[in-house]
Amino acid sequence: MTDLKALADAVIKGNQTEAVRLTQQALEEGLDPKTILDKGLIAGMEVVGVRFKANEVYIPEVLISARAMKMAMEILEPRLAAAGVDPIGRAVIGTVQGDLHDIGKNLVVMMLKGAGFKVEDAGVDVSPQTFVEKARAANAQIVGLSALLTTTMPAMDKTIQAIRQAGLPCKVMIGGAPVTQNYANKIGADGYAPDAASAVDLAKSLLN
Amino acid sequence: MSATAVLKGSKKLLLKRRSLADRLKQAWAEGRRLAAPLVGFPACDWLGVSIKVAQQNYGMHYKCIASLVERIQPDAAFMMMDLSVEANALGLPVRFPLHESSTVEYHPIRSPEDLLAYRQINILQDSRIQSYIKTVEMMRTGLPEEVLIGAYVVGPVTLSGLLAGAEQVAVDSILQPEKVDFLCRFSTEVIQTYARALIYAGADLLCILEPTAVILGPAQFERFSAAYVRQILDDVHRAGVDTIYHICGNSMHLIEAMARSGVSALSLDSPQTGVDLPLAAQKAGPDVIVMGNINPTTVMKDGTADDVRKACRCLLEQMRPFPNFIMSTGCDLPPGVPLENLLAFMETVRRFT
Repeated sequence: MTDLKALADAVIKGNQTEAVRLTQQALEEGLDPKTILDKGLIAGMEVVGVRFKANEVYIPEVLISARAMKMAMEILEPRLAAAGVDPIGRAVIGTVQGDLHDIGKNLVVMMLKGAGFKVEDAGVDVSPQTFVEKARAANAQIVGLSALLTTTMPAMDKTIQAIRQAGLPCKVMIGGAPVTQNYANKIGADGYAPDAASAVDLAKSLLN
Repeated sequence: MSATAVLKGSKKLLLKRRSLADRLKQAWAEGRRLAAPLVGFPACDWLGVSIKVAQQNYGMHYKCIASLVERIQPDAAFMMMDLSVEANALGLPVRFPLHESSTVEYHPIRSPEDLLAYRQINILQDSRIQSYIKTVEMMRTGLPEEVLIGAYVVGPVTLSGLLAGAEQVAVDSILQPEKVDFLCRFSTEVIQTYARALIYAGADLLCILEPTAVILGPAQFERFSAAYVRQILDDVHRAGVDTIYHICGNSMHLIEAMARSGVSALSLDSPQTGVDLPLAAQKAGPDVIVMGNINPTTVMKDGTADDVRKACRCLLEQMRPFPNFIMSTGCDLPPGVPLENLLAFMETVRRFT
């Protein structure tokens, strides 16, 4: 019987080969895909998130773990869909119009996926209208906006207005180097997260 | 060609470098603090020119910096911050917004072999590089004698990230470290070439901008940033030029490694990013100058002049025990910072005893 703790450890260590092998093995043994996800992959990423917040590991290690999880998810996702297992939430994440920076956004995408969200990565330089269209198409509960430049922060405001005017019921969270909680309050965002691990906690809390 | 060789045989050999440490000692003895905000873009606002023009026209670039110096009278003046100039000179695609610093659009390097073609490029023949060098020359000859002239280069990890993608560099720093070493070696050669030219043009201070390195842990930072920065310093310090290591974001886990690199000063980001400046000064030790860290957006851009005074007084009080402190901003000031706030910053430092 596959040891799901070993699968979690493979994710923690960022060992893609082992994460894929153990996921495949667990599926072949007939383990419930949701159990593999929760007790193996998500459990591993949760440990990574805690260590990241505690400065025990840094962004490179988080990226490597997230990539291991992503590879394992490629074989697990079809089985989850076939079993009718829903993600814990649906999110669209992107960097706002005029801004080309992507590492923070990518990290949030990976960490959210690692927490069990279904995430649409909208990319960089995303217009307010594109955010609206993607959020509508994905039936998103959460829209995450990233900006690294002070001059692109107003695009967050415009995007939130576009989402509200379109009548979408999703919550909007924002983040990025120049962004603050005060700015989130000012533009009517539902939340602000200072880093990718906190963004996961925020997204979960916004679902409730 | 080394920086000292560049300086020899030239009338610029006669040029007396202004030492940051000496200036700091003198100010401390007189019971005052040095003030060196990282600022350039706000001058574009009041001169009515775009950042794009200022970054591509050395005459306008200099005019902006001269206008700033005239109005706020800092102890050091820096050219405008531009993280894309070296990458642009290597032929990477760069976007030039009107009112924001330029940004590299994508990162084409996939393997060490891809760098071969880039090795043929003499970046000093690039028009934008020449424009920055010319700006520093004009600052040297045009600004008052007592103002230290600051020039920027990007750091080895940051240039590697622009070449190959920051995320790829981060992952490879663990999984394929030799690949990152290769990139950093190339980047260091490019930076050294540009640094020598800036020094020859008259810079007193060379500020190494290394924001991408904040994503690394201490071990990777030491290997891929600090070790290569040390190579850059060899040349620069021989020419009598001081160096500043600037990292955006929360760099508290990197302070010791930054200080050990041998730079003259650390320039650190604002408290809101997690930087505790008094603690950073303790970690860095008395032999390294610490600069920072008023928030560029929440205080300098969005705050009132009173907010600026309050934040500056608070920081000056916190840093009172540290003679090796220079009052600065946590990062480069964005466009839109009111002149009134800049004056409040300077006035608070000047009046503090």
